[in-house]
Amino acid sequence: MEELIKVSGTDEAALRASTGAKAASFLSMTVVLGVILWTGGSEIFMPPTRPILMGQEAAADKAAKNNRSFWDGSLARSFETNFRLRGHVRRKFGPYWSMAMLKLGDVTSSELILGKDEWLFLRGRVRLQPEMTAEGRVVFPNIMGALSRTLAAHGTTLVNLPLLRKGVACEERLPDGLDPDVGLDREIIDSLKARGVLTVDIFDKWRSMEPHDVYKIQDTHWARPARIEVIKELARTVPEIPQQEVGAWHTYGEDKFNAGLLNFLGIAIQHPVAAQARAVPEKGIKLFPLSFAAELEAGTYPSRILHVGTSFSAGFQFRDLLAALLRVGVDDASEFGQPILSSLQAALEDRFDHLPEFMLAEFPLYQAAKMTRLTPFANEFGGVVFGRLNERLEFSAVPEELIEPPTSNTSSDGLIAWSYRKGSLVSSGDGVLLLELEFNGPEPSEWALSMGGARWPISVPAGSQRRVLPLVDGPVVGDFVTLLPKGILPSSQPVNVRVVADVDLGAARSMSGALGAAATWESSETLSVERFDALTVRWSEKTAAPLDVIAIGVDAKGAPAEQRWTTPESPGSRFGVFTLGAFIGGEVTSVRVGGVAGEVQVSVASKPK
Amino acid sequence: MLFTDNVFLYYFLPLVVALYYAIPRAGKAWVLALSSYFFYGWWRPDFVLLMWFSTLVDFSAGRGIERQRSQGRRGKGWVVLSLCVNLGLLAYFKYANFGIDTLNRILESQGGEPFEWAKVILPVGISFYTFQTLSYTVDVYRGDAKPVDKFRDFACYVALFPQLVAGPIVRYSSIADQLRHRVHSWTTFSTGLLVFQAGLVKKVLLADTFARSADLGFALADPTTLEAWIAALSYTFQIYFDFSGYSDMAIGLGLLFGFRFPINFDRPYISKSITEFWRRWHITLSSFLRDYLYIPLGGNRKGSVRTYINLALTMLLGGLWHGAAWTFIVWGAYQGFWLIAERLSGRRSFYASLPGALQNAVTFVIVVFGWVLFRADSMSQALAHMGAMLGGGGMGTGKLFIEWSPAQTLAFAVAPIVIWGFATTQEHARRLRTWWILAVLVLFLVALLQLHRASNIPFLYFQF
Repeated sequence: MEELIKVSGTDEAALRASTGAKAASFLSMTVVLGVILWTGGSEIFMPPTRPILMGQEAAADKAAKNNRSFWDGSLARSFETNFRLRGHVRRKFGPYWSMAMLKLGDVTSSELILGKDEWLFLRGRVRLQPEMTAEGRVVFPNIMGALSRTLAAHGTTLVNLPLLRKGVACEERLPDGLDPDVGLDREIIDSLKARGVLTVDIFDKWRSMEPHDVYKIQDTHWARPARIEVIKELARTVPEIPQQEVGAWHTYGEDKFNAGLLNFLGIAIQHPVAAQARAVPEKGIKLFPLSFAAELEAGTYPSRILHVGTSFSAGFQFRDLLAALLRVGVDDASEFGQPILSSLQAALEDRFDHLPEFMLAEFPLYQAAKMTRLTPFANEFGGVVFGRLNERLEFSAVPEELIEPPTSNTSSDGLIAWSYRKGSLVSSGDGVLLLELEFNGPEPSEWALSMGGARWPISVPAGSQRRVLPLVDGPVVGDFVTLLPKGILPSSQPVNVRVVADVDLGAARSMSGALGAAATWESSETLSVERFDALTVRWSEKTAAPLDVIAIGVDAKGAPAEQRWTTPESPGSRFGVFTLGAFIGGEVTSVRVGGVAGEVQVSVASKPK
Repeated sequence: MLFTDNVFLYYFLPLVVALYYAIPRAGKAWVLALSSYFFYGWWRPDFVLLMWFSTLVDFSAGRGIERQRSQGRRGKGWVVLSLCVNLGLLAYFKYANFGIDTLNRILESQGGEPFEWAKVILPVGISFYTFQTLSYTVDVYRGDAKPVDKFRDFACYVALFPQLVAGPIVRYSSIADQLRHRVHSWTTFSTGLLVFQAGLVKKVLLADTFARSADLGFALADPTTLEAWIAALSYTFQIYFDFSGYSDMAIGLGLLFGFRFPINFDRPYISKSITEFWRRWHITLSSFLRDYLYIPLGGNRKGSVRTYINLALTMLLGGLWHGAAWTFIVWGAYQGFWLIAERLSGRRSFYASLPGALQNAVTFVIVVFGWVLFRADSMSQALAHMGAMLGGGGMGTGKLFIEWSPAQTLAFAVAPIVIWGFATTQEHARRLRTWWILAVLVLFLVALLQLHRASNIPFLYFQF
């Protein structure tokens, strides 16, 4: 027989508790029961107020509520989580414990990394999943490249303001030995530039500044000196941006504390213990003249610049600072808690008929790094924005004989799909190559254009409809492209598919060269490169080798530059087009093309004026 | 529901205690049974049906055996039925995925088509309650226990929430009398509360702190020797404080309702041999395996060779009971190997000639290596980790210490004192001391605050 527990003061134990122990035991029981009853009772009789959720938090909360089920326990778990997060104890007493732990060098949330001098970092933004960033480092620059090209056709200059991750900008405040993958941020910025996107590059500047001048110590957002540096760099990178149009100035208002990361420790900024946080106060901005500020706020000022940003802008008066420092009117469409592509979509949908001259897009780089071809908001953005912006634009058709035609499959359930296999549509994958689709169905239909870097949804009303959507690749150059209907369509649904480019193929400048050893075509002709120029390659005979294109030259500052595109396998088509973003303002001095045979034609094509 | 959940601590427990003491004696078993079903069904209501099924089968088996006895028969058929039902449930819910996965790997290696298979979800606690219901039928069959009179008592025994999901494994014969008659007193109640508090402190302040370095250390692709040792030691301490903490909480909760459960841990890490370790670690499981597996297999009654085979089989199945994975099977074999080796040297370790402290140290190291097998995700990871511990990981501090906190250092300083220097919770319960009561109270309040953090770590033994 197993030994059962014996209790002091009972017959089995045969050991008597002392009077002191009895008193202590009674005290302990009273306190514990009191704490339990008070805690449970206070949640019922004095229920805490519900927090007001906004943006992504509100959407996530709604989605979680919709997905709760009694049978799989998710309803019970949501109740537990809600109770724990909103409870009085967590709010009133928990913060003292969390702050004490923080001061002792520990954090009570696994979502945070405690750096040196009580610096706090969000773990998910310091240590991004490598398998995810493999796509993100390519997909996001390709989407922005496509947007930049499309907006340019409408006369709008898109300027990207990518913000380094806190762990990268303030690397010295991370615990020693923690690698934030600095190269990721550098690579995304370079990728944006390589796709011809005007990009404000504050990488070196921010990393040379004092960390507390770049990011707030216990918040996820930026400090004012960092914002000022971005605006200065914007003026340097885009000298043509409107400036000095208004006699604007600013003064400083009330102190604001930002220590949002304390929320992860259960410490609300209003809690008395938050005074012990390392939240450096920052004064708000008051923009003058007041009439100018009021017009900006009301959106009635005729601004030539539209700024679209994230909470970095919306929560930190970045538009006001832009207006004050550039002395110009700036329209603002920044949003809290939204990814930049969603905010850009919302801003553009409001302005399709009156696009601004300049459009600034501020976004933290972790957003870019996390993007995949299946990110819903990115695909929604592409389907809506490109579908609408390209509606009335004309593009240059790629000769049909150069492209391997798509296969059309009809499955047993009537599903029709048009598929271009890998290597059929070879480009830099940033929207320089597009698919023009002409639908003429008797009924409305829904489609998806699926490819290596995106899955654009297409909504088509009945009748003759045209859609031109950019081809966006992931890490693979010249990946698959498939057009799929959503649901079953009558097999008579006609769709014409045409491959087009957004550069003028007819007016391209040819490069002279010749096939050399190892089936490599080489040219040493020098050609100047402007923004959005692209290298086009066509050849007459297919080979079994992968296509390998290398362009060498110099950038606007005369610094050596190189771009390379390699398909994983032999391309089925005999045409490729590649954006020469690294050489803007400079020139291409040499091009080598491997994996081609027969007559080879290489040229530099520009966007139609 | 977890004992560390706010819903349990602040609503379920006080309500059930209040109801239990407010209701007349005849209804108390129903209060416990029904509240236990609620407790168990909180996360997966459909799994309660399984428990009812197991309960009904074994209640009927007990009655059936009694009926057949009155007719001069032994009632073997009822035992076979109970074995088939309980072990069948266990086999399906716990081992079907493992079996199909293994079969598919073999098929694929032979170029065959794998079976399409929807993964089976493991009902929490099934390993524990099926053993308990089985033990009842076997005890009745053997004549070690009388069949239960009232269904409510049996339902209460099977479902009893304090020990339902992770033990201790309470045999029917241990608490048969208590099911019929329990003594309720302030002394028992207040001591139960203290034991519960002590368990929660172990779990939240120690086990969860060690979990950080254990999880990180075992996730490292190439740990250094130091990292490998720290990770293994962290897990060694984590599993002890986690499981013994849970057992304390279960025992304490039992006392709140007048039940005296069996002791499950008796300072296992002070053992001087693996044989002794298994007398101190998860005592209710090892004694269950001894009485319901090792002895029925023949124990040591059929010669030395059969004894070793029985020992090896018992430990292999004991390993498999913990989980459907090769790592658990190898862990069981590893334990069996040491037990056989010690039996060969007369139930003493072959290092028994060493001074006592060294015997303890060697045993502890053997146990630590065993926990590497237990914790690793695969055999290859386990072997790589052991290789790193044996010097193959190279020197250096590596990544494990990048986010090392003072709390982790403190845990490493406190754990050996608690393990080797302190009396166990049950010893304290037997002889209450003022300083212990007050220390537990303060640490319990700290643990409650810690529980309000953003992320909680579930009990390790919930997965078994």
